[in-house]
Amino acid sequence: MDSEKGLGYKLNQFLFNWFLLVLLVAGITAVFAQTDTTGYYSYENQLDINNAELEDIAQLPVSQDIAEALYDRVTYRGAFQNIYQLREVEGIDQKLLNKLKPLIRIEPYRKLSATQEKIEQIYYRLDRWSSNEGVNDAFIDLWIEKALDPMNVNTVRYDELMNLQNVSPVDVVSIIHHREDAGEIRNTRDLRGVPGLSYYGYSNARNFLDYTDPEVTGVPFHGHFTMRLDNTPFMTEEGEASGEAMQQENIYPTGTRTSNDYNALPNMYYKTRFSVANYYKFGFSYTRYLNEPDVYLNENSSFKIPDMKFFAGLENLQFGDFQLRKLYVGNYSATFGQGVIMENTDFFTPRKSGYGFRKRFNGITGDNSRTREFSLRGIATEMAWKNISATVFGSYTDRDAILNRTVEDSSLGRSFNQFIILDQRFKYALDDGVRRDSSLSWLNSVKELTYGSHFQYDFMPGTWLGLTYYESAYDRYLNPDPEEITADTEWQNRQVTADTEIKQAYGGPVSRGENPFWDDAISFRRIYGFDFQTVIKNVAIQGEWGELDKGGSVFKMGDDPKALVLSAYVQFPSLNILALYRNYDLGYDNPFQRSFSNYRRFKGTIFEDYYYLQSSLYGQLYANAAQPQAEEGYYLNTYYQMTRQITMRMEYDNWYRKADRAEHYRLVGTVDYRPIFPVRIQLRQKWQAREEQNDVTLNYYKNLEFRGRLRMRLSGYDDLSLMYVNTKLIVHPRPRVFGDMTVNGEAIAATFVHNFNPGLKLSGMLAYYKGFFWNFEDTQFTVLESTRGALRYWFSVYTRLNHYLSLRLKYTAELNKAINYIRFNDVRDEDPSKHYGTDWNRKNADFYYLELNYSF
Amino acid sequence: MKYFFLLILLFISVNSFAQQLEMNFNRMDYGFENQYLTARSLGLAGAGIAGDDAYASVSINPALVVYSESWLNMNAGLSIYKLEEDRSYPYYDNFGGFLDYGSYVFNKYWYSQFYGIITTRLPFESLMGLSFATGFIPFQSFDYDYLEEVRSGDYGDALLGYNHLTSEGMLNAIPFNIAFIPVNGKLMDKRLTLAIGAGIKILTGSVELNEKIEVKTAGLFDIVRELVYEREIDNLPVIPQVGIQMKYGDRFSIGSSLRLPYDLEFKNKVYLANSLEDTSMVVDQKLTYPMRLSFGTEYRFQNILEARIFTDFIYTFWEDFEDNQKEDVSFDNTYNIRAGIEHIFFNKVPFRVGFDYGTLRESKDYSQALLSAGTGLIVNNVKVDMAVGISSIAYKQQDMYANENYGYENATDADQVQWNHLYARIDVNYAF
Repeated sequence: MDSEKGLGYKLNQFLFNWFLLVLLVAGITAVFAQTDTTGYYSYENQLDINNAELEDIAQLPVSQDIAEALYDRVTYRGAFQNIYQLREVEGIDQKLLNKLKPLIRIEPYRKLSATQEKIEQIYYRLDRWSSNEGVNDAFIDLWIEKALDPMNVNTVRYDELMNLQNVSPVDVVSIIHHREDAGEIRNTRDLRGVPGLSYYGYSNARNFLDYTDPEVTGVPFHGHFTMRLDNTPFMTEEGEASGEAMQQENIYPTGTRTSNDYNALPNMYYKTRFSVANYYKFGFSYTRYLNEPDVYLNENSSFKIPDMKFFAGLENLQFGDFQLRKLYVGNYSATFGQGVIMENTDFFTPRKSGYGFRKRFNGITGDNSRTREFSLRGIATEMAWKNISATVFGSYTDRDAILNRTVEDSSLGRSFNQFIILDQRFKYALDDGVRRDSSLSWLNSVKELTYGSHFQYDFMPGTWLGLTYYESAYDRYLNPDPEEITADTEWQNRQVTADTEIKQAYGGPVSRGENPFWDDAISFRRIYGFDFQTVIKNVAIQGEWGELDKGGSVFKMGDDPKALVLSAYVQFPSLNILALYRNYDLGYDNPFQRSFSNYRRFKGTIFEDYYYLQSSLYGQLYANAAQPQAEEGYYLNTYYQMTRQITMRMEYDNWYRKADRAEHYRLVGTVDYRPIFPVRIQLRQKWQAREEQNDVTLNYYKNLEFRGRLRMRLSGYDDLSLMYVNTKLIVHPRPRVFGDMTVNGEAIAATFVHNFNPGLKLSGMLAYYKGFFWNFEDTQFTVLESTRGALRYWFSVYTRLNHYLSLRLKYTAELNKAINYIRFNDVRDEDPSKHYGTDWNRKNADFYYLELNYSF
Repeated sequence: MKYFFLLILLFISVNSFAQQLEMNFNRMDYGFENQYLTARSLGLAGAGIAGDDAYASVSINPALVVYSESWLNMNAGLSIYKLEEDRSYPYYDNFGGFLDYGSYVFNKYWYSQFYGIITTRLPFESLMGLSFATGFIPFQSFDYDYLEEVRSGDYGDALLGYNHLTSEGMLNAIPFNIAFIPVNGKLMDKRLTLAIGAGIKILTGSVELNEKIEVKTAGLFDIVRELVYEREIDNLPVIPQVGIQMKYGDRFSIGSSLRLPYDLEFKNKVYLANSLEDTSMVVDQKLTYPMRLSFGTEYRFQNILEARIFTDFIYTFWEDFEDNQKEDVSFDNTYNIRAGIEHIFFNKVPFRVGFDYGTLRESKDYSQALLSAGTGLIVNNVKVDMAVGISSIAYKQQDMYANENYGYENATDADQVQWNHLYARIDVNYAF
């Protein structure tokens, strides 16, 4: 037994010893192998560490931890620029560095692709464009696309150049003339030397231009995606009532919401646009505003598709002399001339002159904007043959409109009163029980067929004559009777002269008629006119004339309500002057008109005084109106760079409102003084008044505003800006209020920006304001008002995670000084369950803003 | 006794008003979950299901514990939470037109809690990265305080009394996680690591709610009351969770986690504190909390400041929530989308921002967003992390205390309730 045991024991011992021996041999081998690595790399056989795999780095005479740290450094933080950066890696001291130096070489990392290089050149512009408030989305789409896929300056068309950022007609014509004269623009230096091209035009255009046709390797595919999510409230006063509307009123049809009619969903906007080569364009976008429910194309399906905009486009096809410049199907935008006849956006831009920051995107393009009311959906094409170009478009879509309660003809349904751009698209407006009871939703309540065309003959580059025409047909009668919108008896009792603008709104018998293409059409609107432009040396002259057809002759100018814009622009190297004249008739009621004006349509009318309307939300007829008011006036804008240190800008506008002949002026002067490069002082003063010379009218008001700003570049990374604002608003007495009322406003703000590097930016602002205050906050434009004063601050982080992807996260807080002891005497309904005052009115706010951009 | 039973009904049966949100009652009855456990997690707004934060394994994905830095790692920290409540009613002008909201309650309350987590990864390669985690973490808070000062609407503004609501209670969790790496190889020339983990959390703690009307003027003493509501856990609440995380190549990871439903049984003792007679009543309450399914990704960029982005999608089946005391409790399923970005400056200083957007169980038409930011310091194997997060929501709710108690007409309008949340975390991590 013992011997048997001993044998088993010995066998075990043997196996154990064998195991130890194997371990020992393996260990010794490993040690020797490790030791051998000291000779793996040498001065003649160096390791290219920036392009090495972990296994290669592990062959260096370093521990596994250090090898991994070196690999991670290159993988996650980027290539070493020089050998001494190895010291930044944990565990590498000078002694080890000295040992590694002869074994390692620093080679450039992988070469950037052409797109990556482009993005690195313009990343700061992408930062600005990505959320450029107020600029047409079509521009942003185009600029991103052309920045990544530049156009050949020697073949690019006038209209393509004209849509680039900060490029004037004089700039474009200068480029075209120069390339004709010189034969070719070969490089940036040539471009800079183009006679007549302004510095701003050059410095902006160069980002979108190449000098030869690109070498095509594969099919160029570019695109970008933008998503924004925020809970920033509406700026309009009546918008505040909408939250209340949802609480108190049954906004949705019964049964569509289970828990509560009120919701707390944020603003959401996303858009995507792709381009394949220079020919194919695709895109889609979706917009949902604060507190709106999502709207789906297939509401009853389990897999819901959001009701989004989309388009597919074809561009730049050439068949001999015939060009198919653009063909778009789906949602598209169309703009011609000065916006007198057609510019389909929901957004009103004051003083939209067509120059500088207030350019128009001329022509047609796929529509990715947040426009919802005046969107066009259908087909549009732009063609050209030699010097003649033609744009033809057709659209069939629904519009939001207020329907009239009164039934004129029961066989034809109810007529509609006004189109309306809604902050929040709900089915019914607050308080309007009459329409709700009759299921007269204002959503998609009118069907519209719109078609039109624009023909243009180019006499020479930058000189043309164009004809524009469009016609809209509706499936309801158009009857803009104000009594259908104002509360009972308010219209009879409270009319003012400015309300003439409402009385002159287009509609009634003149608008009734059939349409040859659409059997359901029972009313229509027809607009036509012409536009022109010429550039003579450094002067650009533009103009557009439009008429609303109310039965006059097509060939006789002025026998129908009309609108006219004329402008002249002169450009010198350090000076430019724009003079503009506009004259819009009261009766020129064109829902697609977006031409130059300081004010929206219906300013001063009863639509502005929403408390006289059947619903406070009908105040959006004025607050969101995109049409300009009927006015006549002159506008002058000059920019003068006096020296390298001093720049001056002056804007003067003098006009009168057609509805009541109220005289207005607006004068703004700006001085920008840069005594030394890092310091910039900006002073801006505004004088604005209505009926300043008229002591008897209640229309009188005067507004003075001073803004002073000191901007200091503290280092290459840091920027500090201090601002002081002082405003004064003076209005004449109203009944039972004696003496002029003066409302003072004051604000002080400090903004700080720190750039850690080109990829990460941290910024913030701290402000105190009282009264009225507008400001640019990071990428958002805000209009604020605080009765007792408010402390406001925000922080923003902008990070470019790699070449393509960037993210912005912003938090804004506002603490208003509370108002206490507010009391009213109820004179109407005397409901004891309601409160007619409060001890405390607190208005504190927390807002977030998230933005994500991906460009490739 | 009549109104005593009415009160019991009130506090046991939430959602008394079908058209309103009862956020505060739900908070007191069903609690709310601490979703941002550590400072790093809060800085990333809770994102990181596919990340490599071993401490977060006890909260969001048990598989992550395999990323423990060392054989023993400890995290200890302080969690702070502030709730600011502004309750207001609509008020009208002379003509009966709505003007604005006027505040009548403005409360600020702070709550704090310590937490600790231990993780270990056994230092034997043959054990496939076998790792464990445990700790003591705040899981579900029932904390809520409300103080309303009632004043006369007449001249003189006399103080009439106070309405109090105080709910105190935190259910802490003791987690046990285990995870390992069954696959660690190469796929199509790229490294592939797969981690699988499972864990349970055992809940412990108790809740007490006190509701009181305190009168400060003569003639109203018949409305004085103090209701106490003691809640003891009557079962062993165990929350099972499984998770998976896969890292492919140097940059990309995905992860997923499934948390199963769990039951929480309370023995609720309710009584009037100031009554001479025995008013106590015991009610057994069983709450079934729903399942949660989460997915996440992580992408590590090449960026001189190191950059990684975490994106998570979390879906909770709140429609399956049950309360045996209230058959018709109706919640909506919720989803959260979280994004967190982490930079590390100079290998030493992390900088994080996060964004969490999600719908509420009370209504899918309500959403809430959280913004967060965090930083810290890395010194060898010691890390200090800190973060803050802010969030706010406004909702409608009927007046909680009837005006008629004080001799006034009851309000027909709903109140607007504004809640501002502030979260803060600071913790110290040590890897042995």
